[in-house]
Amino acid sequence: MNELFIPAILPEIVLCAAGVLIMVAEPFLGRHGRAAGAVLAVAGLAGSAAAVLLAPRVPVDALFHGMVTLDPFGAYCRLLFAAIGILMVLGSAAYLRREALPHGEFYTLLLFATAGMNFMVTGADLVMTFVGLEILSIATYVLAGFRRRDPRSNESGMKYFFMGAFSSAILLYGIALIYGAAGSTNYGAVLRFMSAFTHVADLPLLLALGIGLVVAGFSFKVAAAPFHVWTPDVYEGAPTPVTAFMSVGPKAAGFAALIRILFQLVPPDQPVWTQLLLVSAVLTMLVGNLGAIPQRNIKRLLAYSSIAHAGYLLIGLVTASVTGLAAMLFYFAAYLLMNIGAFAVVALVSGPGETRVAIDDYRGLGFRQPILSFPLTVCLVSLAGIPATAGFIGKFFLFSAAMERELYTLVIIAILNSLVSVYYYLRVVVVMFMQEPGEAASVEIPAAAGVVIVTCGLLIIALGLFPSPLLQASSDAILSFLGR
Amino acid sequence: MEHLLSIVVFLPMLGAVGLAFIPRARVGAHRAVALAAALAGFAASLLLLTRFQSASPDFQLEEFHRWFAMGGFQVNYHLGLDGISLFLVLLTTFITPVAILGSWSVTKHVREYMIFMLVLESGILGVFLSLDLVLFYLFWEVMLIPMYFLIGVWGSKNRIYAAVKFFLYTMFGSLFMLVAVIALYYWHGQAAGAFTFDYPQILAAMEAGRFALPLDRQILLFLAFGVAFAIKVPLFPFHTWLPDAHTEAPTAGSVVLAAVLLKMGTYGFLRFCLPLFPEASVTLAPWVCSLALVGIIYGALVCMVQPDLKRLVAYSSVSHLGFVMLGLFAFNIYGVQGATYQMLNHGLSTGALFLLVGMIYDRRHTRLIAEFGGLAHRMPVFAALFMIVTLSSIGLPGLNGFVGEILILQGAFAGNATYGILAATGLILSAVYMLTMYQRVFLGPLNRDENRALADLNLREKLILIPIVILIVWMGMHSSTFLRPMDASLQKALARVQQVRQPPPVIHEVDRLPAGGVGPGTPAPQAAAPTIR
Repeated sequence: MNELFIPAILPEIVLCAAGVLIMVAEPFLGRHGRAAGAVLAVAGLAGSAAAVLLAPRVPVDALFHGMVTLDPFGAYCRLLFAAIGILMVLGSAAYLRREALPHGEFYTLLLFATAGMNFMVTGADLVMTFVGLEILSIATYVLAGFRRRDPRSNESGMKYFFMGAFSSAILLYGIALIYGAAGSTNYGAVLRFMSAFTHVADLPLLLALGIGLVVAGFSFKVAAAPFHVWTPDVYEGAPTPVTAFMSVGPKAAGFAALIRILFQLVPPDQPVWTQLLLVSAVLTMLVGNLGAIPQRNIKRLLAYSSIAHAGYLLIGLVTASVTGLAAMLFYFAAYLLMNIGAFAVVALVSGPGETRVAIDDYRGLGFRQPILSFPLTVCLVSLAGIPATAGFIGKFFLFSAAMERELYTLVIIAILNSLVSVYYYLRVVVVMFMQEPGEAASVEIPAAAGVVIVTCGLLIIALGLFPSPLLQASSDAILSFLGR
Repeated sequence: MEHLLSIVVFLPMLGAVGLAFIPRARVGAHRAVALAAALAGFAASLLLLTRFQSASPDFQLEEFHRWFAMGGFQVNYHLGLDGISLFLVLLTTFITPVAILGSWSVTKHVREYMIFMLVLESGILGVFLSLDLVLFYLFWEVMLIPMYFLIGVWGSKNRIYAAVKFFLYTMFGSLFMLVAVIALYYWHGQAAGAFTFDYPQILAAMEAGRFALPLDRQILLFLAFGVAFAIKVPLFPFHTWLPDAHTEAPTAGSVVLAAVLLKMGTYGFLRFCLPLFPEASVTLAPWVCSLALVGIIYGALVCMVQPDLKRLVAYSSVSHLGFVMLGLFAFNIYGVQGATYQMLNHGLSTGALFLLVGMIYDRRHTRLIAEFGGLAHRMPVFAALFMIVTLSSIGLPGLNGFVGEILILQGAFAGNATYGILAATGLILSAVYMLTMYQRVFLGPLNRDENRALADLNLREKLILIPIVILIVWMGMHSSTFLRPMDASLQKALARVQQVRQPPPVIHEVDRLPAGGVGPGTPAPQAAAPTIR
């Protein structure tokens, strides 16, 4: 195959082209700019998905001089990212109008961020992965501070930027150490270098340290303890659709990049960082779930919930098994539906200026607006991992994978955490349906946002009842490189 | 009709989906459609009776489809009916329309209420019919959500506390069960070479000796399954959710809770714990029996000082379910037959009691015993029906409660005389508190003005209660209708645990009894009565 095989990066080309096009075209479209921008963004994202689907299925590493891989794992993740993007555009159009925020820039940044995530999961070289991460991060910093006149949004963008810059530095330092030890930043080359050592203890200290720093750098992105402290503040202050995006996009991309690094750069039979990841998983679950209990603000609640979910996902990394990693990929899809659905409701209920974000503001929403309250309930129930939802299937396989590895204590800790999480997710349901309704007026539901919310709710149940196709796709994606 | 079981399970769900499309304002239509769906479910379940082969101990009318898979993981949609689940299914499909008919006093969000009732029914039926452990877990959990809403939205004052407590307690237990299910999957797979969640397949591997669990693992699994079931039953220290949930739930919620939901726990012990972990069951039986006895006596004592009618009925459930557990863990056919019979009895009589309490609450908006007195003067029909149900609940010979209790006591005495004596004390206490309550509510002078204006039961209320009363008498007079179809399956469920047991001489004779005394098809009580005398 030709070294410069364009179909391998066509999805990213489409995304960037669409992003640039929106920016250039917006000033000329005037009034119709908003709708046209959204249409162009959706077209770009759908085009990238189509490009992923049309690309050859045969796994090829190291195209573009060892920079990019083409394999089912990357395809799976890129399709998820396109789905995230489309749901985001549809869900946030009305929000942008309500808050009088610029549309074009928002969509452009979203498309660039998506392109960055794509490079993170297809990169075959640490440098490529890093560049992808930076494209994503810079776009997200701007998005977090997108409500320029709101101090909370400014704080959020600023905090995220400093934390992000810090984590990038750590990551970069790790990459430098790996390069110093192995003489290359290419996954395949480092893998060959490491495979030469039969005992993990023989590995050069530099290399082990380098991998540790890389893992730490990504732990910031996925909000895993002890690198999670920025999450609640940033999630609370950012515009709600951006919070939704941050909670699913960078998290999934970060985990996907970690999977690649820990299983394609580190030889699969040398689980160097398992013990550390295990500690991090336990800590992350505890911090997330215990932190969520006293929250009164729904965005902060969901922020802690997203920390907790990073903990559950880490279980998949700890198991280092096909079941565990495939469960992670499935969980990405489930998690994106639950979080985008939930945050879409939060964005609508919050009202102009995002003033109504306390859990108490949901009083009486239950029977007043079932179009919002029932899908939100489905999302929360799924986040809690109750059966007949996608969230259950994900947790079921994550826990199964841990049982397969006989990590019994970890599973017990995880289920106790799930129990705690049931408590705080249910609290929202209690407020919506069971407390005396407040006098709050109905929330206007724009068509596109309504479609997103209902679609998320229905898909969560559909995936909970008929998960086979997605499970198959996710295990194929993992086998495509673990099997090799 | 090869999908009869699926039809039975999902017919109510279908009704719920239909309800969602009826405009909110048409309350009458919601009630009618819900009732029709529940009745259709009952009719479908009656078909089960005609197709069921009572001589066979095996699962019948099975349905097996691949459900979902990942890699080697295969989870199946596997339903099956045997003598144990048959009557529990019928009880569920019978009680639900009764409960729906008893919910006319609900006026808030009728459509959603009815949807939750029907989804709840589907969930419970799924629990009783699932033969795949993951499918079982799915139904077990799915049924939580409608019940949670029923208590939390339509309950009385403390409903939110009760609903959340109910949910968290049950969830706590069931998460351990989930871990046990997965552990069983791997341990069975590693030993037998075939990874499956299929209950009959795992059991067959155990029976054939391909898969033997060491005692320590059995105990772990027994405890993990057991905690889920014990919370549901509820066994003594796990019972504290029950009085709250029962008392705060709307009438129909309490009815379904008491009549069917609690049986999911005892059913779980009988279906899974006894056959799958026989050694652990035998090892832990003294503990379980002791807790059951504490529950019997403690529940009864609380009832004696209970000022609130509904709470009284709730605590009496703790006591009665203690009997069921004692019967199950006697490990002989009398005890287990009695326990299964008592599950049905308790479903009918406690269900009816909650309905009756609900009817008086609708009229007076109080449940305090002290507020009543002499009601028999104003409400003769109500008083008469209440009497019958009360007598059924305390086990008057000729009514259903007697058959179950005598069998359980016989089983308990055969296993351990102390258990029998203590349990019999519980029976006496139950007569004391039920009759005292009856006396204070219905007899004596009608000395409160508010009670003078009370109207007797209307046609709908009579329609609700009369079928129950008919069944109460039928089950008391002709128990073989119900005991015979159960027999083969119960023998099979007991087989492994009886094998394990090293029978000491005294018990040995009793263990032999079923073979001679209660052959398949021989109704037990008649055979049993002489032994007691």
